[in-house]
Amino acid sequence: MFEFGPILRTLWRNKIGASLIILQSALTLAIVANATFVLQQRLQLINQPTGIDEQHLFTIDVKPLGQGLFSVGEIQRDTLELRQITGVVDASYISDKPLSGSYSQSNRNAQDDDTTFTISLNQLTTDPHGLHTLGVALEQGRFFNDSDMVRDLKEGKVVVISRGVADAAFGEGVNPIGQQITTFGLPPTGKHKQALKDSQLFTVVGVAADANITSVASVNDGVIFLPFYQPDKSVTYLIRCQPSQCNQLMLAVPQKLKQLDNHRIITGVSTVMSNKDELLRADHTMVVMMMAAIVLVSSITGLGVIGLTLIWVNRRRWQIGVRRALGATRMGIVRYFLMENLLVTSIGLCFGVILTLGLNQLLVEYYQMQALPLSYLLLGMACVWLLGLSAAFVPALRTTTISPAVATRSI
Amino acid sequence: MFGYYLQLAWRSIKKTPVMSALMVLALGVGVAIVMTMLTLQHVESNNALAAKNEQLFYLQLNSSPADELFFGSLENGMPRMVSYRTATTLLKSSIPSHSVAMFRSMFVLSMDDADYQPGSIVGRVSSRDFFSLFDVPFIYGKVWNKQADESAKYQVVIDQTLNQQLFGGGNSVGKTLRLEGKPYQVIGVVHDFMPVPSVQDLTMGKTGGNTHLYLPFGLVRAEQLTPYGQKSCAASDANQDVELGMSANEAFEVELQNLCIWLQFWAELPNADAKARYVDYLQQYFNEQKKLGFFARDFDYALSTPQQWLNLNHVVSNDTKVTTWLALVFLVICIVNTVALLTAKLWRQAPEAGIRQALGASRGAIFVQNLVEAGFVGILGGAFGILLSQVMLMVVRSILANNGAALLGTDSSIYSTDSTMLAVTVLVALISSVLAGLYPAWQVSRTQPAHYLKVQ
Repeated sequence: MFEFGPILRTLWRNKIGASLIILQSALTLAIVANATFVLQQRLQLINQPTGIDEQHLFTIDVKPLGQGLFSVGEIQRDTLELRQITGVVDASYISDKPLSGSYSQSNRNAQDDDTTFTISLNQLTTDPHGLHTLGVALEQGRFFNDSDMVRDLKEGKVVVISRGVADAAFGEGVNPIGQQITTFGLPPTGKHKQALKDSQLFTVVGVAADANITSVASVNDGVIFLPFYQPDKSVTYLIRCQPSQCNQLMLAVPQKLKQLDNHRIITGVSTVMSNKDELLRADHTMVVMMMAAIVLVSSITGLGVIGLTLIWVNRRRWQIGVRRALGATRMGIVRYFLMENLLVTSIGLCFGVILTLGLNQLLVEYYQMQALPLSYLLLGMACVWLLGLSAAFVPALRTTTISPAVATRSI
Repeated sequence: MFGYYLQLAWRSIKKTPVMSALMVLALGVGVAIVMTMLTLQHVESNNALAAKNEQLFYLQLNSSPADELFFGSLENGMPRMVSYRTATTLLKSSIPSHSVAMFRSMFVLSMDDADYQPGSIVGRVSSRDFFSLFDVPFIYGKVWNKQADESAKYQVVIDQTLNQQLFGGGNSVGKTLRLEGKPYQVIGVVHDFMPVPSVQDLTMGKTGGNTHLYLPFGLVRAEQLTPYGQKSCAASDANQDVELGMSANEAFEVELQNLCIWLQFWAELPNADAKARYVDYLQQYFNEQKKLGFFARDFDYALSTPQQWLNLNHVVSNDTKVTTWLALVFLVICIVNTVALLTAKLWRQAPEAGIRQALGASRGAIFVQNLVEAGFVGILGGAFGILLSQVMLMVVRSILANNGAALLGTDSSIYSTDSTMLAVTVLVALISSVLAGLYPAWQVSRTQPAHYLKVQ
C-alpha cells in the first residue's frame, strides 16, 4: 500500500531535486531546533519572577547642590515625609537600585575543615523599612529597627541575610539566627576561625526570602542586608506605591522632596520595571530575532517544498494519468505524493539531527550557550515533518484534477 | 546574443510569475538578513583608533592578590584596570611618547547664570596626554599644563557639544562653569570624541566611556574624586583598611595607596624597541613593588592594541555572533531553495533547449543562456536583498531610537551601511546568484535533444 519501491526509484532518477530538499530540511531542522531552544531560554529569563514587588516600585536620586555628604537626619526626614504621602505603601533608603544591574558583589573562597566553597553575594545597605518596601517576605527572626542603623559600618552589630546565603554559609537546616558572619558571608568556623579573628563579625538577626533584587537572574547565593547609611554625596530612595498610584507619585514625590529642601537636585525618577526592561533589552531583542528566524526559515522552506512539488506534479502528469487509467484512486495518488515528501523529509531529518547537534556544539563551545535537550530536537523534527507534509499537501491535491484521459492524449 | 538571452530570461520569468517571485523573494530575504547582521557586527566592532592601532597599547598588570582574582578580570587572567598608586608611578616614565591614566567621575554642574538648571554630568579625569594620544584636536585654547596633572588646578576642557549647550558655541576659553559648586575655568574646547564602541574606556559598556567634559588629573587628591563606574578592591589587601578616627583626608590617602583598581591606562609606544624597553621598565617596577609586598603574584602584563582590547572586551555580543551564524545558515537554506526551484524550472524548459540544440545551438550557448536566466533571477534577488536590508536597518534604527538610546548616549544613526558593507552586499548577492544558477544551467545544457524531439 505504501509504494516505497516506485517512490524510491522515482527519487533516484531525480537525485538532484530530492537531495536539495533533503539538504534544505536538514538545515531547517538545525535552525528551528536551536532557535526554539534559545527562544525558550530567553523567555524563561524574562518571565521569571524576581520575588520583589517590581510592578509597584520606583526609585529617585537626590544630590545636594553644594559639597559635603548627605546627613542621616536628612535621610530620615525625607523617608518619614515620603511615607506620609497618600498612595505610598512604604519608602526607604537603599544603596542600589533594584534590577538595575548595578550592585556591589563579593566572591569569597571559604575554607571549611577540609572543603573549599565559594560564597558570592550582593551587599545591600538599607534602613528598617527596606525589606517591606521591596516586598520581600521575612522568613525568620526580625528585620532592622532604628537602633540598629549606623553611619559607620564598623559600629554595626547586626545583619539580615537571605535564605540562600544562610544555606551557603551555615548549611541547610542549620538555624542561622544568632550566628556570626562577616559582610562577605563567611562564618567564623573551621579554619576560618583563625583567619577571621580580626575581621568584623555581625550577628544574624533575620532571614529574608530568596529574591533577585539587584539583578534579574540569580547570579549568586543571595543578599546580605546591612543596616547602614553610607556616607555619600547622593542618596537613592525606593518608593513602593499602591496599585495604579505610581504614575501620580512619580510626580508628587519629587515635588515633596523639593519642598523639603530646595537646595538639591532631584534626578533619575525611574520605575523598577523600566530598569528591568533595560537589563533585559538584549534578551527581548534575541526573542524577536529567534522568532523571526523560525518564521522565515519555515516559510522559505515551506514555499520551496510547495514550488518543487508543484513542478514534480506537473512533470508527472502523464505518469499520473497512466496510473489513474490503470485503476489508481485519487486518494492513492495524493498519498503517493505525500509519502514521497515524507520519505524525502525523513532522510533530511536524519542528516538534520547531525547538523543540529553540530551547530549546537559550536554554540556551546564558542558562545557559552547551553546544550540542546533531546526534547527540542524531537519537537523540531515534528515541526519540520509537519511543515513538509502540509506544504506538499496543496500541490498533491492538484493531482486529483488530472483525469485518466491525459494518458491517452499525450502520446 | 546577451541581449537576446536576457529577453528570453525575462519571457521565461513572466511565464511563471509566482515561481519566479518566490525565487527572488527567497534569495532577497536571505541576502538582506545576512547583510543586516554583518552590518550590526561591523558597527559593534568598529575600531575608532584603527589609524594608530600599532602604536597605542592598553595596559593590564597581574595585580590580583594571591588568593583571588579581582572581580571582572578578563579572560587573559588580568584585571581590567590599575590602581592609583601604579598609575601615578607609570605616568612618570618617559619611554612612551604619551601615556594616559584616567577614569570617569560624576559631578553636579551648575552655572553662575541663575536660569541654568543644575544637573549631573559625567566627566573624564585624565592626565594631559589624553588629547594627543587619542588625536582629539583643539578648536580653541589648549590642554592644561603639566603641573595641573600633579597639583589642583581648577581648569576644564569641554567639547563642542557641551560648549554649544553651556555657552552657545564660540571661543569660550576663560569662561567659568561650576562643578560641585566650585568655579572651574574653561581652558580649551575640543572636537567631540564619541567613538562607538568607546574603545578608550570599555569598563562601562559600549558607549559609557564617552564624555563631554575633561578634568586635569591633579584634582583627584584635592577634590577626593572617586570613579563613577567600576572599582574593585581585594579583601585581603593589607593596605586597604581605613582606621577608625582617621580624618577624611587621611582616609582618602589610604584609598589612593591601596591595591583597589579603578583607572584605565594607555601608552603610546611608537616602535618595537620602545615597547621592549617599556616591558623591561614594567617588570622592574612590578618586581620592586612585589618586594615591598604591594603585588602578590609573579610579573605578568598585557599591552593590547585597540583592536585586541576591543576583542578582549567582547564588544560584539555573543547574541550578535550567534544570530549572524544563524543568518548565514539561513542564507544557505535560501540558496539551496533557489537552486532547487531553478533546477526544476529550467528542467521544465529542457524541451525548448532541446529544440534550440537541434537547430544548431552549441552546448556552450545553451549553458550560457540558462546561466543568464539563473543569474538574472540572482541579480534581481540580490537587488531586492540590498533594498530589504536598508529597510531592516531603518527598523533597527527606529527601534533603538524608541528604546531611549539617546539616554545611554548611543547614536542610533551609526547603524547604517557603509561602503565596505555595500561591497560585501554586492559580493554576497553575486556569489549566491552564480551559485544558484551554475548547476541547473550546466545540467540542462547536457540534455539530449533527441529525447525531447521524440516526445514532441
